[in-house]
Amino acid sequence: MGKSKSNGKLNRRNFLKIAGAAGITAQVATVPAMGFKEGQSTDTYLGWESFEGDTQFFNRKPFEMELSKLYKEYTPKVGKSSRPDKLTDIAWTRVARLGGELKKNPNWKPGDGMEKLNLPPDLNEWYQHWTKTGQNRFKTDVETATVGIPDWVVNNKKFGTHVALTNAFFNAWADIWDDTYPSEPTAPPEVSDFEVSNHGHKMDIRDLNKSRKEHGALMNFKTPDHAAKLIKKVAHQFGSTVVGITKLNPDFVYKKGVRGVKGNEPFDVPKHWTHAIVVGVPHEWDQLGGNPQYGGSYDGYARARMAASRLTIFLKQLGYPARQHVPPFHYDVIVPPIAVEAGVGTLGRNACVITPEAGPNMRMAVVTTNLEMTVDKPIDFGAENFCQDCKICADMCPSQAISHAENTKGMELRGYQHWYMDTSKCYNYWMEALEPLGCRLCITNCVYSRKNNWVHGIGRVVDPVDPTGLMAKTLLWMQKSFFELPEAKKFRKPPDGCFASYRQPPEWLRTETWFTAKTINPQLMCSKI
Amino acid sequence: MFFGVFDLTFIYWICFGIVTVPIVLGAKEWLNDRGILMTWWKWILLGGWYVATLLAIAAAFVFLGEGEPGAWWKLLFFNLAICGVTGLIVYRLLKLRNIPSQS
Repeated sequence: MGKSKSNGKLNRRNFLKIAGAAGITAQVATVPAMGFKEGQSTDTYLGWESFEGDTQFFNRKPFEMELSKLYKEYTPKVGKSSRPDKLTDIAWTRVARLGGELKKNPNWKPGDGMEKLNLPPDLNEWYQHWTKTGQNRFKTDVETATVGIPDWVVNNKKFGTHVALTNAFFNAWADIWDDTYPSEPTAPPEVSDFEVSNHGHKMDIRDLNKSRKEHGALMNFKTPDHAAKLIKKVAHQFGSTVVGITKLNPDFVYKKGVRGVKGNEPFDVPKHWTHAIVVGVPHEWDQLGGNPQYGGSYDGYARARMAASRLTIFLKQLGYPARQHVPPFHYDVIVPPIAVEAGVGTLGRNACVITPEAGPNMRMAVVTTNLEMTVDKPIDFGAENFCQDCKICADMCPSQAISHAENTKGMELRGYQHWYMDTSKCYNYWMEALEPLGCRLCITNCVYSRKNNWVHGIGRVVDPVDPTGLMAKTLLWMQKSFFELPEAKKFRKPPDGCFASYRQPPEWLRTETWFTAKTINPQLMCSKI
Repeated sequence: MFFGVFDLTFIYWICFGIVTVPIVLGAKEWLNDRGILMTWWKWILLGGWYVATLLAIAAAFVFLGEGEPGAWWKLLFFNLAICGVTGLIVYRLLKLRNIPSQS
């Protein structure tokens, strides 16, 4: 047989075997280091590493569908559609109004019932609607206003220094809307959307276009396709990680209180809001795992806001009316269904838009305009089915705001059937977690919210084209078996919880790393819970 | 960046490719010693298993780099177990349809 005839001498064959063994040793020894490097690499921080279009790397074409299919199979229209209302549908506005009513009736007690509170008709109707569906949102909102918010103030005094660095970091991002950049519209859409600033002078786009027309210089696009391509290119340059375009569905425009008009009067959807451009950016990836206590929303908000605002100005400079609808609360439209129509992603169990690139870790803004552009189509890349089986976000939600239902049957919101969350319960935990405000746990723990490295890339590429569903099942099993998933109650305030976070925050975001200030870390209590 | 120094990744992969040459040649000799006659499909099978094993090891360490130590060791043991079992299967397959070595 092929025994070496070398008798221990270093002949060619022995040399090759020794060199081969050394090569295998070198590869096996260094491959872990390369893997570790990949895991740490900031090059995988999608949306924070590049301002070029390559951040939108997922090829949506094979997964596109017609809008009619979306509203037949995925988000069926099951009732009469109605436009959302800022005063009732937005949780913090609603709870603030309820808090005002409670102040007017200091002797009212929860046992007295909602009727004795004499709520304004719209608020009363809204609570009645949800009570009929089995969700006592009134009770939750009362709890938030009377217990949650006062406790939140106390807890932030006690533990505030521990999260002071996080708070400073995110409040710095929030600066742009504290100082209201971009400036809020001060006139109705028919006026303000047409205002453009030229070397410090405000001009009406219609006048600008008239003058350009006289010189044969109207900025008419060659085709709608050219318009869509340029807008997407520029949106990426302005900082957007993903971009999608759709025609504006009036069902997703608030029915009252358009910005730029005082009061809260009903308004018709402006005629020049024919198209919607959706831009999105993810949160900074380092801090994402630190949610709810060491994360924040303001970085994503600020960047989405900037991208949309610059795009608005760009459109106006070209001669097209435009208005930005931006986080945190400067909207005339609701973003998620528009993003779904624009093919940016699909609606997940956590009521967030799940994008193929970064899952629900995508903060979005919308620009409405009348520029004729080729529109994108909704997509189905498998997240819908995945959400039905997964339920990690629902299991881990501290306030149980996310449904555990097997599917969306019976879940109707303003005429459409789709995943939604109990916004009262969600906001209840917002006003429990330490500052900076909010939770974001369902963004953090979603299996699609993963950095852009090759390990997660395999899942992103293979799962959407796997007809057997085996990949999805394997990934879900691995997620639940291998990864640490803290219990929901641990996220709550003491004594029920210990203000846990999904993962520990990065070193650079910990007060204790840099400062001598005395801090109390509530998570030291976690082992006792 | 490579370990925070400068970008050596490109050089690493060149070295990786160079090192692969003696690995293949050495494997050929080693298999020959054991009377295993390699055909094209056996090379693909063995190469595929080797690459998959390296990726499996690297994948576990990606999670360590991402700050998921729990997932790291669980996935590492899980992957190594799978690679071990598939390695034995691959070795059995390599021994199929052999003729005595001429060396």
